[in-house]
Amino acid sequence: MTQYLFFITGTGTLLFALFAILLPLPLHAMISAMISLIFTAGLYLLLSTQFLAIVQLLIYIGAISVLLLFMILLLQLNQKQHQMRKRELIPPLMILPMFLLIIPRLLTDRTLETAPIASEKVFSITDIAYTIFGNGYSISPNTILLELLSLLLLISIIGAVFFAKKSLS
Amino acid sequence: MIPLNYYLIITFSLFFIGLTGVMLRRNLLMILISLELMFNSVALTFTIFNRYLYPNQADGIVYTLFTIGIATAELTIGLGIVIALYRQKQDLSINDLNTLKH
Repeated sequence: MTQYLFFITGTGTLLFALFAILLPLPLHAMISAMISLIFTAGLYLLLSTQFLAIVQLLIYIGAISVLLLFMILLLQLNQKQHQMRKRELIPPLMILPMFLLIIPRLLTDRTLETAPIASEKVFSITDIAYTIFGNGYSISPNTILLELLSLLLLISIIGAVFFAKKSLS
Repeated sequence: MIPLNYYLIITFSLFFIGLTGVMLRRNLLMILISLELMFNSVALTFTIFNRYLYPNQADGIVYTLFTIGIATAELTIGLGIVIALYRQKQDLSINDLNTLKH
């Protein structure tokens, strides 16, 4: 049963991600990317990290994707089709050998096959909070990362306001 | 149970699809969407390695949350740049976009 669920969610993730980069209109591409992110939430459920599945649905789809979707709807993009030139295909073709080299390696690597089975232990929000903030007896280094992340978010908010306020001249 | 390889193949393919999108598309919003796919694959990889290799710790889950936060910050700046460029040019194609040079 788990295998079938994994097959469905994995295939859905990759298929809709492909649609997201190949569909010509940004609106359709964004909706495909949202479906791909929903399938990724299913993958988080299969890894028995329910908290991350909820976070994926709430933040990635509910906040980030909807923000991008509104941006696509707000900007009146001209609908003229961009003519794909031959030389624009050169960079994707140059990174294609990387893909073709690594995928067989991942399929046949013996050291990865001996990795233990994923545990079924479900972490509560309390465990995750202990991991971030420490358990009261010792300070966790993740706390500093959290502070740096909050600083990064503050700087990005100021930068976005600065960019959107006046035009680049 | 599912081996670690299959999860890694999915995340690597997802990252590769996002990278191809960044290189292939000429629209700035499409590049942002592809970047979101790449961030998503990296966040998933953190959780996968945590669940398989260190099942009794939650550090990978925490780093996944941090990655989502960084993706949000990146998108904020990106959308600010998109709005500024759209005000000036009414066009988001990156072919004739040389304002950021020099």
